[in-house]
Amino acid sequence: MGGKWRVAVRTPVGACSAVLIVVVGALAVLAPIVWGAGAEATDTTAIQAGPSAAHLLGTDSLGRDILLRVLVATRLSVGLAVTATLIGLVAGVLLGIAPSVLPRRLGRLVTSAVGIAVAFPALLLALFLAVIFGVGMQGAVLAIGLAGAPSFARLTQTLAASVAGRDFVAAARVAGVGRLRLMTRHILPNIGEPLVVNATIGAGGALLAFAGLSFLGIGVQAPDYDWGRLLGDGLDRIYTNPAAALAPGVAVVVVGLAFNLFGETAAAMLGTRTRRLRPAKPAEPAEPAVRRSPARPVRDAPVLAVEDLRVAFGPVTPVRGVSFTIGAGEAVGMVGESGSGKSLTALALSGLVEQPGTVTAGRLEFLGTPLPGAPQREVRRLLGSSLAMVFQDPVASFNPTQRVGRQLAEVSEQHQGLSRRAALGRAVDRLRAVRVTEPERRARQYPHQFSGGMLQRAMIGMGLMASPRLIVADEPTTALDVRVQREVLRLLSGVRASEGAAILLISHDISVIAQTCDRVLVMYAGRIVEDMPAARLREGARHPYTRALLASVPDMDTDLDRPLTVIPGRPPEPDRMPPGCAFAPRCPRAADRCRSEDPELSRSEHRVACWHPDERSGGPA
Amino acid sequence: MRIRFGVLIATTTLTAGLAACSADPVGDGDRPVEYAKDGTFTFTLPSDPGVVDPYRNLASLAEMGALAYDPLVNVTPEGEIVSGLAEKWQADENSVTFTLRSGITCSDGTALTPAHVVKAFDFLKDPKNQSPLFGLLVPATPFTATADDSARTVRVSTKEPFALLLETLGRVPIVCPKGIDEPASLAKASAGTGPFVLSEVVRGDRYTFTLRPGYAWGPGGVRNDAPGTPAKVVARVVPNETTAANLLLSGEVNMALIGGADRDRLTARKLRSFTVAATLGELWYNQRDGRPGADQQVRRALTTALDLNELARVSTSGRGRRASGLVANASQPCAADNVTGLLPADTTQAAAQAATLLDQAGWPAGPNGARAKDGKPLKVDLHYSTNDGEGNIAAAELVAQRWKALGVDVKLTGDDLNALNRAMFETGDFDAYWAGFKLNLPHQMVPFATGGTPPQGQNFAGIENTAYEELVKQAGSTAGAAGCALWNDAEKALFQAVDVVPVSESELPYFLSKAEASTEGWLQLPIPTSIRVLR
Amino acid sequence: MSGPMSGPMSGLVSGAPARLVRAPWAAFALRRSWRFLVSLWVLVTASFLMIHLIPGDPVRAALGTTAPVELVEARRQALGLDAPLWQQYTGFLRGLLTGDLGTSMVNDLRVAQVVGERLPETIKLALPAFVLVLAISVPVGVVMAMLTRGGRRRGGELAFTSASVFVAAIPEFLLAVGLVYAFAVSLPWFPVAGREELSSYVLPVLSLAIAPAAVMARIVRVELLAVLGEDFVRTARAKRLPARLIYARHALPNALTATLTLAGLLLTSMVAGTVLVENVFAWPGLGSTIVQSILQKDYPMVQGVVLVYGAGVLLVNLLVDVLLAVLDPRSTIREG
Repeated sequence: MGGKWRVAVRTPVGACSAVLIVVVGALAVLAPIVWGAGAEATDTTAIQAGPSAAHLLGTDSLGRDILLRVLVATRLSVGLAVTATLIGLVAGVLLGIAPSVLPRRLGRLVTSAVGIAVAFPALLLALFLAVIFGVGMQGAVLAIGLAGAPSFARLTQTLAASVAGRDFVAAARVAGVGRLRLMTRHILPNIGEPLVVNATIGAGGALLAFAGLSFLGIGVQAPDYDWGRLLGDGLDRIYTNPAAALAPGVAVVVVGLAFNLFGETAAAMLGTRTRRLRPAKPAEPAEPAVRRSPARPVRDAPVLAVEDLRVAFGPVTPVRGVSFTIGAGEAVGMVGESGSGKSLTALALSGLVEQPGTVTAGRLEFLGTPLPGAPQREVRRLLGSSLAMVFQDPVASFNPTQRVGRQLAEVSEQHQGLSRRAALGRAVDRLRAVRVTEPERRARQYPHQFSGGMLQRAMIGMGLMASPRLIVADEPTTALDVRVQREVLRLLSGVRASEGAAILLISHDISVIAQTCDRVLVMYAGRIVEDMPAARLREGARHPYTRALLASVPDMDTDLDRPLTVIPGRPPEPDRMPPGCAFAPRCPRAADRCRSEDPELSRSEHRVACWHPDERSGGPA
Repeated sequence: MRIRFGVLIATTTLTAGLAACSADPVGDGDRPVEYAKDGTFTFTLPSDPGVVDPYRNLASLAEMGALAYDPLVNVTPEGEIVSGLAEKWQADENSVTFTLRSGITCSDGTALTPAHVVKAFDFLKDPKNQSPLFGLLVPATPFTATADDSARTVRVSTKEPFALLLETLGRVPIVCPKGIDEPASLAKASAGTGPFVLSEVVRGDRYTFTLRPGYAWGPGGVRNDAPGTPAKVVARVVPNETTAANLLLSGEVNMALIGGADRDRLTARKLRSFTVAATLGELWYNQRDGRPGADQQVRRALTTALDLNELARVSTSGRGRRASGLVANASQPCAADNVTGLLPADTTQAAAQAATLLDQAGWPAGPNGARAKDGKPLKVDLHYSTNDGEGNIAAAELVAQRWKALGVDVKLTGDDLNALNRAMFETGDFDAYWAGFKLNLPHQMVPFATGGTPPQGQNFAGIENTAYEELVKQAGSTAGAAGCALWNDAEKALFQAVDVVPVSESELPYFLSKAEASTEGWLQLPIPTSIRVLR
Repeated sequence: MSGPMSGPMSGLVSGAPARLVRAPWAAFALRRSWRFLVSLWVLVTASFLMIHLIPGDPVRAALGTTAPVELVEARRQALGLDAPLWQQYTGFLRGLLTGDLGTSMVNDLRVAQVVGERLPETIKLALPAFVLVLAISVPVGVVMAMLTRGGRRRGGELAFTSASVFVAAIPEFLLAVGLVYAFAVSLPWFPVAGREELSSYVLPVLSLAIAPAAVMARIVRVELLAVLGEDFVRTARAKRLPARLIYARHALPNALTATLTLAGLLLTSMVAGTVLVENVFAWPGLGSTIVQSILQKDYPMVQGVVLVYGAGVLLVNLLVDVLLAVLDPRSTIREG
């Protein structure tokens, strides 16, 4: 936790707000000690005087110096805001965990009461509570504190629900841990951070709320004074001495802002808000072997020709000069560890890399059309009707707010100029083609009503809306249930057979590739290190990395008593590429040359980029 | 800028105070006056008073009642009683007879008869009808009213002598029978005899009154057709005082009561104004058993410790003055200086005197300066009203400071209206109260200074002052100037025993923009027939 | 807190047989109406109890310090405050069913009538402000999201975030006072108060709208950025749809579902903002009524306003949920 706070402080906004908070904290401690007496000194001969050299902001109704009072009021203002927030936090957490401890019906009642209260504007709630608790400091603190409780309660409920689904909680539950204990021991400690972050933001809100109550004259009462009261008094005289209102007003806004910004920054660091912005790391379960589809002869003109493709994000270049071709109807597999650049390559060649990423290529031709040079409109039509994409997570890849049929149909509306109705008809037809049962009904359903496997088939169906010449399938089965992985791969092979489309299948699992494709491209650290026919993988692989990949796949012969072979070490970070061969640090065959000179891909049928390729035939060592 | 209550100010203006007339509006009187023909006069209300029903709704009465409802007798700006609905009247200590002017009609055309007036009085005197005027302008002393339609007279008499019948019942606005029988009808239209008629209500926003033709029974018999008399009078709800001041300056409003800091910039812009006085700060000591204030010497010591002039200056933010009695109205029938010589004057020895008094009362100062009696520290819980402005709050702080310097353990408690009522009339849990009771006639003080403590009575401070009780009894049965002298002596008896210490009176200014108006001497509200709109 | 709904339950219905296709909607409607009714009851009871929990004598408070004992007693009986609590409660409920919210203690007006007259005035202020908030925040948020997506223009992002957080931190009443100071008094461009001409709407609506617009713009930007990072937007791009369609059909509706939930909260809190703004601009709405009645201790009026106000909040929430269900059918199967 401390580390994250430190990170938060390092951003410019976080630093500013942190400095402000420290200054305010110091003022809160020191101001009453240093200026306390001065702020109390009355001078009834100079009542409500304007700014002067002796009193920079003028004086109040007893002739006291307003500037000193604003400074001294820091302690009470901040103290009240923090106290109110703590009250709200504690009450909120208690309310939030109540439903999981109370009997079910009672718990539901609490939940719905919180639901109402959270929608009820805090200012009105505070006003109302202020009437009950009476005018004054205690009343205001209680009112503002309790008015904030519903939102903390709601937050606690939401956070607790998300944590409750995690493994360690499930484990504790299975182990027979009671509900209250589960909450206090396992759930609360894990939601503490976001609660604290929101409490920080809440303290800023409380500060403003005190100002609002004081504006209505029901905040802190004499002889105590906080910024709210000084502000209320000052606003009474805004046209005669604006400075008297301005100073406490600025104090309230700026300190409120500091709390807010600091909380927001911390929230961003903790990822409570921005977590979804980062792509999820794919889970990588092993895929079962799939029967290989019949190979097709490579025809004349290639569907795709790529030369020296590079993808860069600023100074970092995760894809560093990739060249290959895919012939018509050919099934090409691309394999590599995660982070090897295979998905980025797929995105780059289909023009889906977004800013700030930049794509360059010596040659990038699809069906003979150079993509970078051609007019945008033409490229859109060409790719829209001839290139199909299948992504890893079908559930996330469909728009949840649109019916599945519409999402398929819009391809034909856009690129084939079909009418809405005709496009929908085609969508139904395509759904049937990918073996979705009851396609008419299914087309009218929303993605959440589909299972994952069915959605992935629908996604393939989406690719078939036009007449694809190439289907790029990026880990199409990784997110799926083991039972349906096989179906989807079989469907892809079937489509290839029926439509005559080429396939670029991307997977981290070399056995899937080996059994589905004609040719294999092995990627490592943003480069293709080996390009060879899939049929010869087992015996003909020459690059030490390919061999290592093969060795890590368990097969019928693997001795299950021995630990699975793993490749030692980790791939290099894209921003720290070694001068020589990127695999050299992990390679058992590496020599001096490997560490200083980067090997080029050889130009032959079986391409390999290695100074010391393994020429032995046969299975991995 | 802070939201203040309408009703408090409204009740202020009626039950309370009002008063001292500085009848000549100040401001730029040099420019030649040009009256507008059929103009509109707009003034502000701090809150929506609700139905304009003088008998059920005090707020509406104070702020707009006079436009549509006439009383039996009127009061001139100088405080002199002149004719209203009654052209003649005769009063003694337990009766009053009014002779109605002939030809008076209600706004619906029916003629007003003495029986109608009696009907109104009979309605008001029955507590079951819950009229807030009961106890204020309608005496709680039982009375009977009889009408003689042929002689056009209304005669009111009491068993117990009550010398202020003319000053109270004579000032009650008369509602025509339709308004009493069908109070719901008053929500949309008025049922009175006044110079204007309520013609349109936009709830929460404005009340529009239109000039009534043929009106000839104004104060002293004036009509409502003088040049500059507006064809329409609009009462507009403007809760925020700063907003009201801005509206005055932009000319969107002709008259507004501006009591806060905004008055300075209006004065600087030379807007005409007239002021209204109201009691702002009074110190009450709780004299119930066990309270330090039960001892007269303690009360005197605590009062001596204060510089009352300084306190008055702070409480009115330098814009008011020292109070001269319990009723802050120089034009009220009994107005006089009742305090000079009776309250401790500020001297350089004041603090020493106060200390000596406390020593004598048995509260000597300990080694650390804190005073105690038999080991019990001298604690004073000083309450104050939070509704009377920043200055009055500052004044309470000042009182606390002075007492602390004397070695008293002071606790300050700010009360809103609810808390104030609770402390005074339910718990009785306070030692001293800093608040202003806004009275407009001396007899209104009686329930607060005599009789049982709540809930038996309204004597919330537990005052027992036999001299006051005796003088009040005599005053009640003595009419005229002699009666007034007795009322004033009664007040003095209270000050002598330090039961109540009147400190400050505010001077609340009504500012005028492109308009003229003068106010009557007692309630200090603009006289409807005196309103003029300038071009 | 503001994350758009994720679909942890999305798998639940996938296997539903054909006849259940319409059932989620029916179940949703039933559940939602039930919740509305329960909430309404909680609101009614809470507002009734709160008024009766307040220490002190409301009658004396309303009639004033100087009211004689007889008067206070008569008024207390007339209001039925001597009856046992449960009798008052049933009487209160009976009154509600006939649209009777009681009578003001201060000015004898029917509460239902006052509320009926004031509510439209508040809506006249809150609705344009709400529309203005959306009209400002959605385009600004969308444009800022487009300009700063993928970590571009970091300086611009910092400036936007700082400015919007700053504006959002200014309380309405300060803004209102400041706007009047600047544009009605110093520069007489707009009326100080009132509601006659269109120009008198400008300052109050602005005071209400500016801070929430800043909040919303940030939310729209963050939500849109989140949605733009979603897989289904990549799918839409892979379909080679024009940018216009990608934003309009795929990104915005999804960003709006989360935004909408907050907009509902915003609308209700904006009505709270009117409390302070109405005061400054002498606007005869519900907000000034509740403040005034709280200060005057006019409890029947407070109760009535809170009830109507709370019912409004519940209605807005209902509306938001229905809209959400239309926009994002997943939400019908959420627990609630």
